[in-house]
Amino acid sequence: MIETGQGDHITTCRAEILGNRQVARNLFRLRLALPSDWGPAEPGQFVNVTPEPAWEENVPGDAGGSLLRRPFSLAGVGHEGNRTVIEILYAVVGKVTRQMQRLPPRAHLDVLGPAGTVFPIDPGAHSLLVGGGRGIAPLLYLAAEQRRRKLPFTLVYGVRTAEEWAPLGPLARGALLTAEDGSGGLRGTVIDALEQAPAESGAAVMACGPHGMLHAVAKWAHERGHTCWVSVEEVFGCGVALCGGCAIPARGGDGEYDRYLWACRDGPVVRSERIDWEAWRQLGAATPPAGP
Amino acid sequence: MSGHTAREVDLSVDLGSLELSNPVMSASGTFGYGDEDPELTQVRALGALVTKTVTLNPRAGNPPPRLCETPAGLLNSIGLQNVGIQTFAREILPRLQDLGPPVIVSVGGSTADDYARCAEILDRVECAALELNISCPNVASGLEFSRSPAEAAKVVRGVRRRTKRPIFAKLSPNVTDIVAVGRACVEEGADGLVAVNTFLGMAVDVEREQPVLPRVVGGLSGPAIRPLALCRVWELARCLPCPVIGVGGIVTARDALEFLLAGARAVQIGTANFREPARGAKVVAGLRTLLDEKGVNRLRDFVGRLRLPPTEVS
Repeated sequence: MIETGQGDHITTCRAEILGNRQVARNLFRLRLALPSDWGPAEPGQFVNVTPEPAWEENVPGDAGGSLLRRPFSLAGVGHEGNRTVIEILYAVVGKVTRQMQRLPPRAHLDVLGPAGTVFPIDPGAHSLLVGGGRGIAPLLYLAAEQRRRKLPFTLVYGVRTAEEWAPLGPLARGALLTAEDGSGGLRGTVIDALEQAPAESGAAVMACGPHGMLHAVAKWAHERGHTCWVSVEEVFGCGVALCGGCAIPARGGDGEYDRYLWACRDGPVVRSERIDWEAWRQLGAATPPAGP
Repeated sequence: MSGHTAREVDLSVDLGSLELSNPVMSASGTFGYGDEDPELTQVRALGALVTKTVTLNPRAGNPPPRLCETPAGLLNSIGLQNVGIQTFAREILPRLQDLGPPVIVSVGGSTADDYARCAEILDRVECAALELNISCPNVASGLEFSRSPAEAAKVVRGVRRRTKRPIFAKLSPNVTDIVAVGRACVEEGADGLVAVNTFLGMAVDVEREQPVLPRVVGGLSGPAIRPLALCRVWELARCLPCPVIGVGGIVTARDALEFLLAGARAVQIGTANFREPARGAKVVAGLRTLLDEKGVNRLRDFVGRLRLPPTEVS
């Protein structure tokens, strides 16, 4: 396995919005322009963003808007002219994403990143890239990177209903699509699709999606002796290991201190064996925050 | 505008025997141990670095979710997850010395003896001062020490016997009379007081009809608590002779000036670091500019110079 670096160069900067449009039911794609020397970023990493204006030293900081940033996996990174262009996918679930939805082209968003661990790329394996719902985001970036490097992979993309599919563009070819309600693709879940994956595939499984799906994929991979990496999420305070807020129940540590890993620093991409799935489920894993 | 450049404003302050080049510190628990990405946090610019709270034994911290954003605030229930004092003193503290600012180690415990034993270990290694976290609302015995003057006194007394280093006691605002607790700490030898830790708070998930935080209540921080914190700082500063370090919802240099006017000798930046990891550095720069604009040459001359109306009721 090739492991790549992380957290090499995290910065905060104002990004200009190039595009912000709906691509599926409650799913939006935001394209942002950043300086050319931003990053380097790799598949699996995230950015932590806020649509709020910068705090000014002589203005009382009573922050009428949102206080914290919100994390999003990178769905794509490229270069246009002398700028780095990144893409994120978001659903409107609360106050911040509602604000984001209203941002027009040329408006600004404050971006901290790129942060977190990366999906390892194994040139020798036919990997399975599994995305559920808006969890497809980091897999789009990983798949594009695998495609660019001519490495074999199969993309598996599950949603509840066909209207939720983000367009896959050139990545659609050979992808296994599932909708739970049978409104398109295969009827069922990503696990049903995995059963139909090419026989030579699977040595490495990379997944992102809701807790129940990730747990099922991890179990499926484990039963077949495949290595499984998952991209996880909890409520983030800072995204850069200052607060310790994004704890996820862990297994296999040495002692008391190792009972939790931090999604921002130890993840978001972690080996599935490191997670105590049952403990996490009982705690109501990664429930989208209710309210504002 | 005064005629000189902003760079000339003297921001130095003293907290008893501890001299700081400027009054801005990180608040415990909002800055990791202090060495998380020094370039991003610009830790070098701070007057002092306060570490995350360290306890005698390693602690796993509380189950997730540990955070919930509220209007202009943040509820947390981290639960003092830390590596324990031995590992901290051996592996982490030495590398904090290279960051630049004096290092103030935040110490927590379940018993008065825990604090004393941590102080003993820290007395054998390099650090500038100890901050006693006697006010964490997110651990079993967290608030007991700062809810009673006698209990708070016991902790400070035990630590005072084991170290000659400056001791700052971090007080809880979740008390009826914060001055009584502060006075008890000072009488036992605390060199200063840090006010305030988080306010007890709670959030309910209406869909699930259950508390958002598994431990039901957590600690509220952020701009939402700034007026509440400021009020406690003012009470302490006017009633007690020791240095008071103000903390609670400070985001900008202007916020910091509110606390300094009210009598705080220094300030800590906490939750604001989560959005802007270099917030402290920006507050330092902002203080230079704002004080220069006010024609203040020395911060020491400015601290506590709040002009009270003649009708102020004591």
